[in-house]
Parts: sequence; structure tokens; C-alpha cells
Amino acid sequence: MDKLKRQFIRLFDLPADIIMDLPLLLLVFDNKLYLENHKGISYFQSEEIKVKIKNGFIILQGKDLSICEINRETLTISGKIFSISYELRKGGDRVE
Amino acid sequence: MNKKILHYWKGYLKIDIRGNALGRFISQISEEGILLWDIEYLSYDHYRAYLYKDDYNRLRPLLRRRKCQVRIIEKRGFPFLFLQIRRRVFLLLGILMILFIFKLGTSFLWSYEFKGLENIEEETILEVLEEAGIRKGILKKDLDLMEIENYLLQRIPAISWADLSWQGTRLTVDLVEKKLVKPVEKGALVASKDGIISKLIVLKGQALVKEGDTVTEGQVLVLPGSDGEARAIIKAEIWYEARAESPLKEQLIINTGKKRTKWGVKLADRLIRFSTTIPPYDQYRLKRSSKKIFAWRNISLPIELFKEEYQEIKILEMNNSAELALFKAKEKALAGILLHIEEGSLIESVYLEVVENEDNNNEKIKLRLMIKTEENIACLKEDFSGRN
Repeated sequence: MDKLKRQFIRLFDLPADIIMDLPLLLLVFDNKLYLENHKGISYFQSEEIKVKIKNGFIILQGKDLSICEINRETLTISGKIFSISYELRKGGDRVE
Repeated sequence: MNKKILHYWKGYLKIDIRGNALGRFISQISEEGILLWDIEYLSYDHYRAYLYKDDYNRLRPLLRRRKCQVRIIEKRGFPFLFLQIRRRVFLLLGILMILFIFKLGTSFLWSYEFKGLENIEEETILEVLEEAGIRKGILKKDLDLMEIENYLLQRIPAISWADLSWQGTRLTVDLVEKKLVKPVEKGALVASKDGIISKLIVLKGQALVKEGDTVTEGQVLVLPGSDGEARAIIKAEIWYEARAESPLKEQLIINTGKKRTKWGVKLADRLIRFSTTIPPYDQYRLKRSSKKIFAWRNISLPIELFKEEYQEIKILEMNNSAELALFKAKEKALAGILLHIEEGSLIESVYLEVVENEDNNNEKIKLRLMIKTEENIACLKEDFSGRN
């Protein structure tokens, strides 16, 4: 099914984040991050935030992190962000 | 900013969240469609966040399922404003009091402003206004402006229009005065200048001269009729003559801009200079100014500080061209004549003549300018009774 979707996306040049329900990140330098299509927060500390996404997690590391706003779809994080990393389950999605 | 206004309008709560696995709890809250903002991490089991006051009740089913505590720390926003105000009754009373005093203060007449007065004195208007019952310090609402306008028009006949209006606490009195027509004066018409009469139309009275006559200043032209009035249109040709000269060589004084200032002290009548007295330039202009050092009321010491400013000048010899000299001479002559010509006169012809130099030196240009005008020379001479 996913394979079919991927072909469909490639064929019609559609935004993958909507069809595949993938996270969309918008980062302002190192102090503000807008994240769409999140699946909730699994861990929150001022040094680390773990955000659940489809097929895994996004892990943010930084200093004085706080959640500016959290909604069903969008999440805004502010603070000093040092790194953004992904932790994906095996067989996770890949979009070329 | 926009968002903050919305938050304020809806009313929001600052809450403390305590319990285990709070990250999950926040996810659950957001899944419910509840907006949380500014979530702060205080410790692993203690978060602080904001949410709308309407969403607070929707948290309750979630709380029951988990072992979490939510406590309200602060209530903010417009819906809670009334609560805050109740705590500050006296502040509110103060604001109301200020508004009341302001309203009270602006409901009186405090000053006047007059517009359009030319011949009538402000005092006369003020007196009439006082008769109508207007004083400084009376209540504005007691005055009927229309009535006062009518009263003003009745009392002062020299006013043709009056408009009263309020500008805050100031009463603006806008008036238009009547233009009074002067009664026709009696007397004979005499000539104001020498000339040859070119036009003579008698409206009232008896003419003593006819067109083409040469008249001299002060000569009686029209005698008054039986009612003592004399009116006529009398125009005469008048010749003006002026002579002027302009040098072909002129001296021009130019400031070079260089200057030097010297200081000194004046003791009684003696001058004491601080520096040499030799002027620093060959050609210069000297400006001297002095200042009393000590002056208090009528007491002053006879010591003065004086300043001498030497400004360097250069004198240039300029050779004017004949045309320029002629132009300058003409200007001079014309300026002399124009002083005598009355307004509204018609200049008929201008005659210019360069006068030959008798002594045959070519340093000056001389000219004679003659102007012929047509002017009204009728001039009323009052109390003319003699019928000679």
C-alpha cells in the first residue's frame, strides 16, 4: 500500500508530508522549531524532547527547551536547539 | 501579538501539572484538541503550562484516568477582569471620580474668543454679553446661543451677522461688522496737480474750466451746486520730468571675509588695548562694540570691555558699460517720478533723452526722463463757500 502511495506521489509530484502523514519541520536558526503532523510527546525535559512521529521519533537536544504551543497537529518548540535526530523503526518509510 | 489579544479575550489559566509520565499526558491533552502553550519543564514530575479557561473542564475526564494533578495558579484575561476589578474597588472609584471632575470642569464657560472685530472694541461686546447674562464660570447648558446671537444683533447695530459656538470651554464669538457708507461730503473740487485737462464730466455743480485748459495746483475746477455738493470726473494730462546721472566708473567695495578681532579695556575715558594698535589690513572696516563688565541695577563700574573687529575690504574700480550706466540712470529717474504718480494713473508715453555733457568728460552719463500720464486730479476741498 505504501509502495503504491509512493509511486502516486512521485507521479503527480504531490507534497509527501500530507499524503504519507510525514512530519514537516520548519526551523528558525537554533531557537524555534515548528513541527507539523506530530503524534504526541513521549518525553519532555528542558534538555531533551522526544516527539513521536509516524514510524518513530524525533529527538531534539538543547538547552532551556520549552513547548510554545501544542495542538493536535502542530507543535512549536523554543529554546536553544543543539541537535535534531531521528529514531526510526525498522522498515520505516523512505521518500525519494 | 495577535494571538496574545485572542488569549486575553478568551481568558486563560496558568496551571501546574504534577504526576508521572507527563510527556504522555501532554500528548493526550493535545489529542483531545486542547491547545496548550508555553509549557515549562520544572522537574520530571512538574510542568507548568497555559490553556484557555473553557478547555479546563475538558481536562477532567483525562485526569480521572491518570494519576495526575492539575492545579490553577493564575487566572488571566478579559473574562476574569471583573474579578480583578472587584478586588480594586477604590481604583475604580478613583477613575470614575476623575471622569466626573473632568466632565464637571468642562461644563463651564471659561474663556472667550472674538473673531472679525475691526472697529468695535471687545469691551463693548463683552458688556452686551454680560447684559445677556453671560459671565465666566456659568454653566454651558444654561445658555441658548441662538437667543444671545439675536440679542447681540439687536443691541449693537454695527453688527450684521453673529455666530456663537463652543470650542470646549471657550465661547467663540464670530462677528461681521457692517460697512457704513460715508455720507457725501460737501465742497468744491480743486485741482490736485498742474496739468492740461483732457476729460471733464460734471455730475453735480458748475464747471469753471473746459477740456484743453491748463490748470495749476489748487485751482477751483467745479463749484458746488445748490445742495452744496460737487461731483465730477476730471482727468488731466500731467508731465513729469526727472533728471538722473550715472557714473561710468564705479567703486565696488568687497568684503574679503578675512577679519581679526582685538580686545581692550576702557577705563573711564582711557583705552587700553591688549595688543598692538596697528590695523592689520591696508583697507578695512572697523566695528567697535563694548560691554560693561559689572552692572547690577543702577550700579556699574566705569570699566568696559571693548572689542574691535577689523574686516578686510577691497575697493575695486568697475568700468560700467554705457548701456548699464544708462539703465541705472533710467532706474534712478523712474524711481523719483513714480513717487509722485498716484495709484490708478495711466502712463501714456515715456520720453527719454540723453543729455550731452557740456564739460565734455566721459565719466558720467546724464539723462532726462519725461513721462506723460493721465490722472484724476479732482480733489475735494471742503467748506468751500466762496463763489468767486
